[in-house]
Amino acid sequence: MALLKPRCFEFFRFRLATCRRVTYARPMLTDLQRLAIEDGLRDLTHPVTLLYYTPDVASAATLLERALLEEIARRSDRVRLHVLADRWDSAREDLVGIARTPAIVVKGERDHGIRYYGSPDGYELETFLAVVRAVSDERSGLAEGSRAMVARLVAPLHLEALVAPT
Amino acid sequence: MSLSARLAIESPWITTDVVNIAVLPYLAVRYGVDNVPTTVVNGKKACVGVLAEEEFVREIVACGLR
Repeated sequence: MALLKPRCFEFFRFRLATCRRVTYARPMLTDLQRLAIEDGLRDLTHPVTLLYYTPDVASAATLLERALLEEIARRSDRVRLHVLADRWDSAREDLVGIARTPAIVVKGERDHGIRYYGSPDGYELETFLAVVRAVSDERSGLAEGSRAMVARLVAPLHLEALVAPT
Repeated sequence: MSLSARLAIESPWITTDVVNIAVLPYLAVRYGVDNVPTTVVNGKKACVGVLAEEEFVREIVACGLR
């Protein structure tokens, strides 16, 4: 047993050393993405908060997603980003109003219940920036006829818009 | 801009998840998605493909009034 202890210790020290070496390269955004972000966020009227719920152990996908959100927050003083990296389970996800992680919540003065699951890049980026703008303006931009139809609702509706990456 | 997100901004009764099915492919299987975008309302497939605003809103509101 006395002989085993140092070996175990050496093993864990080796594991720690190898874990430390597992790092991801910081993802780079394209000039096109930066331009789209700059254009999309120009002259926002009111503050918008982005909450990014993510596992505490990063993956290549979450790092890319986080880099995109950080760039969005950097490009406008009206956008605040809160990264909530933690060990999420379904009970805690329910508590904060998300279905799973990673998740992006877009909220303005009030929470409209808009959640993104999956990085809003590619063509989705422009759509996402338009959502940020609409939340900032607190205006849906729907036509009068559509607004009148929506006003008839008296029960909760949960929509899931399933989109594909581009 | 995403019509489902616009609806969420317009009405306190509506919440919206925008889901990339590449990240959550099991949802595509669960709802039998063979075309995108597909909109699911309260767990039931409601609209498939890109619809004009008026048509989309009519479909969604109809789900809520059924």
